[in-house]
Order: sequence, then C-alpha cells, then structure tokens
Amino acid sequence: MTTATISRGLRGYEARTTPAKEGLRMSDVAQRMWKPMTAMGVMVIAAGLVLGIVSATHANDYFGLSAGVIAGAPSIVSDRAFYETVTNGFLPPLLFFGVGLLLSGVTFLLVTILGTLRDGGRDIQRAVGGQPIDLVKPITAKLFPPVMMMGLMVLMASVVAGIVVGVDQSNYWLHASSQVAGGPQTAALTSDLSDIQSIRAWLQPLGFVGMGLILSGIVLALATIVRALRFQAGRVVQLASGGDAAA
Amino acid sequence: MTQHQLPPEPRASSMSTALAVIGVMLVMSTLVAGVSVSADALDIREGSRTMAWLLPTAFAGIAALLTAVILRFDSILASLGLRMGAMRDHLPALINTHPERHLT
Repeated sequence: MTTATISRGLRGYEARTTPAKEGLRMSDVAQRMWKPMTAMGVMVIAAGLVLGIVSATHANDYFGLSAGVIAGAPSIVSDRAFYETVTNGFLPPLLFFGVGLLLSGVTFLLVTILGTLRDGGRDIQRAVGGQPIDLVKPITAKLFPPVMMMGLMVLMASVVAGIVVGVDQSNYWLHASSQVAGGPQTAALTSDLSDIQSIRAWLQPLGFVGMGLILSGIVLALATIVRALRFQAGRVVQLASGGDAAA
Repeated sequence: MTQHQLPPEPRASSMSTALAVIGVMLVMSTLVAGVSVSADALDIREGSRTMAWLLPTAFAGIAALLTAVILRFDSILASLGLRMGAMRDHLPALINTHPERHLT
C-alpha cells in the first residue's frame, strides 16, 4: 500500500492511494442502519411512555385506598405489584435503552457522513485529474464503532437486570404481607427485597455508563469528521496548486 | 450560485425544528410537574401517580430532541452531497479558468 503525506500547516495527514476494490464498508452498513435504529428507539420510548401511563393508573387505584381496605382485599395487591414492577423495575433501563438506540442512530448517521465525504472527495480528485487518495483511518475512526457497541451492550445488560428486578418486585409485592407495616414475613420475600435494593443501587449508574460510552463514540466520530474535512481541504489546495503527492 | 439556483432546503430541517420545540416543551413540563408534586410531598397517591409518568415523559422529550438532532444531521448529509457534487462538477473549470490563482 502506497502512503503519502498531505502537508498542511505543521501537521501532516497520513494518506494512501484509493484501493481498486473494497470489501464491505462500514459506511454502507451504517447508511442502511441509521433509519431502523432511530425507528426502534422511538418505538421503545413510545412503549415506555404508554407503560408509564398505565402504571400511573394502577398507582392511582392502589394509593387511593386506606390501609384497612388493602388488608381486607388481597386482590388489590396486583395494582401495587404492577406499579412496582414497571415504574421501579424494568421501565427506567428500558427508557435508557431507547435513548441508546437513538444515539446509535446518530452514530450511524455520522458514519454515513464520513462515507459521503470520502466518496465525494475521491470524485473531486478524479474530476480535477488527480490520483485519488484517502486519509489513512485515524485512531478515532478505529475506536468509535467498538465504543458505541460496548455502550449498547451495557444498556442491553441493564435491561436484563431491570427485568430481574421487575420479577423480584412482582414476587415481593404480590404477597399481601408485603403491603402492610412490618414488612415481609418469609425468608424468600426478605431475599427478594434484598435483591431489589442491591440491584437498584447500581442499575441506574449502569444506564448512565452505557449512555456515556455511546456519547464518547459520537465524540470520536465527530473528531474523525473534522480530520477528514481538514485532509480534504489540504488535498484540494494541493491539486489546485498543481502538486500531486500521491505517488 | 445564487439563492434561486439552490434546491429547496430539505423538509427534514423544518421537522427537526418542530421536534426540538416539542422536546424542550416536554422536558420543561416534567420540571413543572416535579416542582408541583414537591409542594405536596406527603401526598403519596399524587406522588406515586406523577412519578409513574414523569420519567417516561422526560425521556420522550429527550427522544424528541435526539430525533431532531438526527433529522438535522440528515439535512447536513444532503447538503454535503450537494456541495460535493457542485465541487466535482465545477472545480476543474474554475482551476482551468484561473490557472494563476491558487486556492489558498
């Protein structure tokens, strides 16, 4: 592979001649993926909003009753169980995951922009009679896809942990004894309560970690775009001034 | 290229602005709801009911803002394609017309 340096100011940009044939490019995949990712994110958030409203109606039904009525009507516990399972169980991680999908859509769109810059740059170089050369993939371009994927995986793991908490919440609150002062009366219920409290302590920070990773991927993608734009500006000036350092 | 020679701005741009306004309004409304609930913090029924929809609504606001960002980036992508095409078609002629001028 031939490499050349586009001189622009004090800093040089490593470049290589455009390969005759390329395999599957990430920008082609991203071009197809950003719309489904965005649509999935919007659907997950919309589903979360509906679940939140349904949970609010259950909370309204349950918390409008006195302690005496609750103790005398065990069937009402299902309202509390639903509210706790959704609102204090799997809904927050699900919403984080929805936002993560939207942020992944942003990342894929940035990759598409990078692909457009590269392809357009090649066309311009050919149009002015120069040999098309590309910027050698900078470290930021190598890093952002795995960073984004890691963020999405963390958010998926937090949804799984949220479902575990939701199941524990359901088991705990479906017992009438959990509804009244004095708390759980069996070892299994005490274990459920312990799991709920311990998992919830780290579940929300985990969601923020996932979001942080995806946002870091976006920062890296934007840094790559800046580098590609500067490289192309340097290349256009080089060709216009009659120099072609691609050899 | 004069203004009338440019293609119309992508429709995604105006949709992006509308979504951004909706997103900000949703997020602000959740803040107002949170403050009004805090005024009567001992009302467990009102608090639980509000908290159930408050977080999803705040996330819906953020989602609307992010969708606005995505649509804006889509407009940038369309404009970038236009710019690249214009440069590809007209840059060689410009260089040949003014060979003494360097694009610096």
